[in-house]
This record gives sequence, structure tokens and C-alpha cells, in this order.
Amino acid sequence: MDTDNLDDCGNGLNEHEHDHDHEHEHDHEHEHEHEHGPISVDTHETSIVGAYKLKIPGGKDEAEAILDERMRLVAKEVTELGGIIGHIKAVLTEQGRSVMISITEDESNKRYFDGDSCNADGVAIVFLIKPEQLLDILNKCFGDIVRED
Amino acid sequence: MKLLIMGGFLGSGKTSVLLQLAKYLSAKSPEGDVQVVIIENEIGEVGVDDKVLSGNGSYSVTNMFSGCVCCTMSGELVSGLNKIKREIDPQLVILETTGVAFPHNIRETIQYSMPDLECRVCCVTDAKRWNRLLIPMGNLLPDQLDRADVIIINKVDKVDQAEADQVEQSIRKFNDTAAFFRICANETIDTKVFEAMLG
Repeated sequence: MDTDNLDDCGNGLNEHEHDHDHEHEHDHEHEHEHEHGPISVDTHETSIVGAYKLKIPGGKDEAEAILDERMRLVAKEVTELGGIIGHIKAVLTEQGRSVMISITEDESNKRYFDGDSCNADGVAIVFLIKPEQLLDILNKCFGDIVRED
Repeated sequence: MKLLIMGGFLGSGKTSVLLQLAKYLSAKSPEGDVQVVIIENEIGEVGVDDKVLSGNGSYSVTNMFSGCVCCTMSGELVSGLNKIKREIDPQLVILETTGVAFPHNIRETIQYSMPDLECRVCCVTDAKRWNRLLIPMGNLLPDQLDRADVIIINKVDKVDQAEADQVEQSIRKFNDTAAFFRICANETIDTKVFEAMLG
């Protein structure tokens, strides 16, 4: 299976050119006004778009539980502020999972080792709260496990 | 080359439907002679859906992040579609829009620049959250349905029959000409839904 990322410069999809001016009934507005670190918040028309990059200690099961709990906390905080949740989602990838293969005679044994941490990349797209409020929530919920790439 | 635009609000189940559609297309063409390119448009600094799709099937996945093809990236979308047509010319391109995009706007933009490209719009809605979201998202949800060819009411397993009927009635106020289907994307989707989506 191919995975082409045509988002790279010069290959078509990310060329910052427009073929024509074409008016729509809905002109989306975008603002990029908040710092871009492991946690960032932008706006897209009426939506508040938070992004987070995390490094969660522990193996996959432990990290999954932590991530699930923290994401639920984000949802709870947004809702308590009167916000509407569009989507809060993340992808978790285990880092450092290893396998040791041992062969004696014709017998092969494999022993798997859990990774020592997992990376998670995610977004929280919400409505009806302020960008600063979402930034505060994301920092509160994820601030201790952010990943500096 | 034909284009299918998948629209619908955040969390409505677009990616889940798309995963099953891709499997259906793969099964329909075991020799791999139906080429499919999926364009994932996501807002935000990081992409999530593209990672889910990339691990599930024999198709190409292309990413467009940090902007919505509905507006600021419409030029990039047209450039990208021209490039795909020129270099791959697959039978089908599926564009999964952001959950805040207006699919009909995208179709208009594409048809303006590529008038010969057959283009269909499918909008996925969430039966469970429709009533809760309709008022606060009143500027978004109804217009996402505008001129859609197919409307899928997803998550009908999470509401009772009466609520499903009421949700469909509510949706039909905004588009009564589309083909309607009720599904639960966590279960196997009837192939007639895919046939309708593909036209």
C-alpha cells in the first residue's frame, strides 16, 4: 500500500497558488495566533482547533489508559465551560517495542519486549469556547506529557 | 476519473464509512485493477484520520493538513486533482473533507476548473448528536447537506426507531432530494449504500 504525502512543497497539493478566484457563500476564516509547540491552538471559522504531541511513559496498554483518561478530561472541561465538542481524537504509536529471536538447532523462539513509551498525536476541535480556554485545558490535561520533537 | 466527496460534521463517522467503502472496492476488484486515491483533508497541526486509513487497504492516501479545501486550500485541491489525473488517472478519487467543510462548495470549485470531472457528494450525519448539535451548529450542519447526492444517517443503533425517524425528518427539511440510508458504521454496511455513493 502506498502512502503518498503530497503535502510536501512543490508537488502540487501544497503549492500556495490558487487557480482562480471563486466566491463561496461560506468564506472560512483562519487565525493562527497561538504558539506552535507540542500544544497549539488555532481557529478555523467558528471552530477552535487544538493540536497536541505527547510522549506517554509506559507500554501500550498503560499509555492507552492514560491517553483515554486525559482525553476524557479534556472533553469534560470543554463541556463544563459550555463548549461543544466537535471531535477529540488521537493516534497512539508504541515506541521501542522490541523482539529478541533466539535459535537453537532448528527451533526459533521469539521474545517480545514492551516499549518504554508511546507517542500520541491528536487534535481537539471544539466550538463555543475561547481559544485561550482550550489552550489552558490542553496544557492542564497534557502539559506533563508533551513531546518536544 | 471520478470524484466522491465525503462530507459531514466532525465525529459523524466519515472515516468509518470510508474504511468500509475502501474494503468494498478492494473486494470488488481482487486483481487490483480499480485504482483508488483517497485525499484526507484535516484541520489542525496533526493528522489522525490519514494514519487510520493508511493502515487499512490497498489504496493510496494523500494528506492535506492545516487548511480546508473548502476555501483557503481550494486552489491546492484543484492542482492536486490535476496532478493525480495526469500522473495516476485512477478510476476513483475519494476526498474526505474536514468536519467543518461545505461539500457543495468544494464541488462547485472543482467543477469550475474541471468541468468534465464527474463529481458526487455524500454527507454523513450522526443520529445520536443531530438534535443536540442542530441549534448551536445551525450555520454549519444544514449547509453541509446542501445538494448532497447521498445522505447517510449513521449511529442509528444509538437511538430508538422514533428518534431515527424524527432525525431523518429534520434532515429532510434541508435536503429532501438525496438518497437516504440509515447505517451503523461499526457494523457491516450494505453494499447498496456504496453503490449509491458511487452513483
